[in-house]
Amino acid sequence: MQRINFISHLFMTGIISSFVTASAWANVGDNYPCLKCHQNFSKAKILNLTLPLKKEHQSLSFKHMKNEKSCLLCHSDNSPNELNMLDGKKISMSESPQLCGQCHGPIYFDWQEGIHGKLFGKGTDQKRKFICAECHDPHNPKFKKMKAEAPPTRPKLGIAKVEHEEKPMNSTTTNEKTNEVKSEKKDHHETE
Amino acid sequence: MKPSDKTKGTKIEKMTEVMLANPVKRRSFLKGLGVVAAAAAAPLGAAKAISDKAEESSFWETFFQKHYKEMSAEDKLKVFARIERETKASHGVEVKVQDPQAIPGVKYAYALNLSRCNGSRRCVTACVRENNQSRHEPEIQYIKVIEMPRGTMDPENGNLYYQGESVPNEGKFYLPVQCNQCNNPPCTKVCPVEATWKESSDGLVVVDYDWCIGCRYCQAACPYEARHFNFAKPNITAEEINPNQSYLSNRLRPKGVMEKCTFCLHRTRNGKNPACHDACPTGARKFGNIMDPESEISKILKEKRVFVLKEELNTMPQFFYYFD
Repeated sequence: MQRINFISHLFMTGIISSFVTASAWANVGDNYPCLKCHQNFSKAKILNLTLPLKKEHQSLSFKHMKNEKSCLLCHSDNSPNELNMLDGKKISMSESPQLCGQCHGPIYFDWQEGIHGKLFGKGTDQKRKFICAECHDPHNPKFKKMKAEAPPTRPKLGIAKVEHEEKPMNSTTTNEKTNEVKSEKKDHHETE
Repeated sequence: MKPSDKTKGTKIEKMTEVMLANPVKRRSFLKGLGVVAAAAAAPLGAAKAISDKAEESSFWETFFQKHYKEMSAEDKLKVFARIERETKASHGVEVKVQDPQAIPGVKYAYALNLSRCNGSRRCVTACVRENNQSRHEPEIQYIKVIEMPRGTMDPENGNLYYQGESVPNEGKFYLPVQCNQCNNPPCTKVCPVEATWKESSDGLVVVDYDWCIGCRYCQAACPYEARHFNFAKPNITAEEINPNQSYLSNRLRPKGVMEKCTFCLHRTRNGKNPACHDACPTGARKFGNIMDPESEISKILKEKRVFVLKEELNTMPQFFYYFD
């Protein structure tokens, strides 16, 4: 839940601040969690970061692209609400699927058609699509393992099945029979 | 007492009126039995046990109820009112029984992405909650999730009872199986009383619980083990009851009838998705209208390599699986 809150927070601020002009940066910083500490976030600083991060960031995990830690591959270096495409184009946070689609092409096309990911809404009416980062943490995109619900209760026949395994009655009898047949055949051959 | 027999139908209606008007004494009860001789043996024991007058009247109402397809709108309203009354009496819960009709131009199909399913059984619990199934003794679940080793496809030797603190378990994949809503359903053909049928327009296979005699032929006929029998009265507490009910899907079942998945008919015919679809945490399930070429389900059928279970039986399932 914390992750979801964090991500939704990121995106809310992303969407809100896309309406805010660049001159109103100080106000945005109040809401944007990174900017509370990182007012003077420079490119040089980011490139010198080492993992693991400071105590405040222990909850953030970076398991995307084999522990890629170059923030600026996706994040814009001068604006925390913008993303860098690989060709240098800047896009807003809400357009982020384009960015993901640069590497995850087939899934991006599936997502555009509504095949990948969950759709909410009425079956025959309008549906709402989720964007990538609403389900996947961009910094650790693989789905976390979860606890399964309780299995169905075994029918009473299941106990009998275990007993059968302890005493494999059918298999022994058939084996004995085949052995007998074999020995008979052997005797037959010997007499011949 | 075939549903098509109209002359008997009128007689039965008169009988019902008489029965409901006069409190039943043993003598008049036996007289009544003489008229309906064919069906006499079964209710005799049950009628003795009935003491309360309200229960008695609802017993006779159920006994003389027509087949679902032959009921007029008024009859249906009466039946729904009776079911609501019975639930109120037995569990003290106000429920609403409806009968949503098929949407024209819609035929439902389901697709499930086995690469995405993580075996968390969220669909199973959501289904049980939505459809008012018996929670224990008998425990009825429409969806079975089968765990199999990766690289194999042998559902019959799969594990239904896997435990999972953190699913997906190492080296396993999961195959959820529920009613396939076959286009050529073997289960409806074997019913001796036509209590189960495939809806002609949207293709859902449904059961009239009040018409079912509980012979369990359909359970034997179904190759997907999708039909379940109520060996006892469903075990469900008042808090667990879902009050949005429909006659053909999730109303409380009586003892001794078959039940099955109906793609949450009461939801889907009102434009919602089935409960299992909405509960899936990974988005593996896709539900939609196969007649609409722009729906996701049609696109999946076009673009993905889908397969069905037991294709060789020619049941033509409307439940498709795929990997991607």
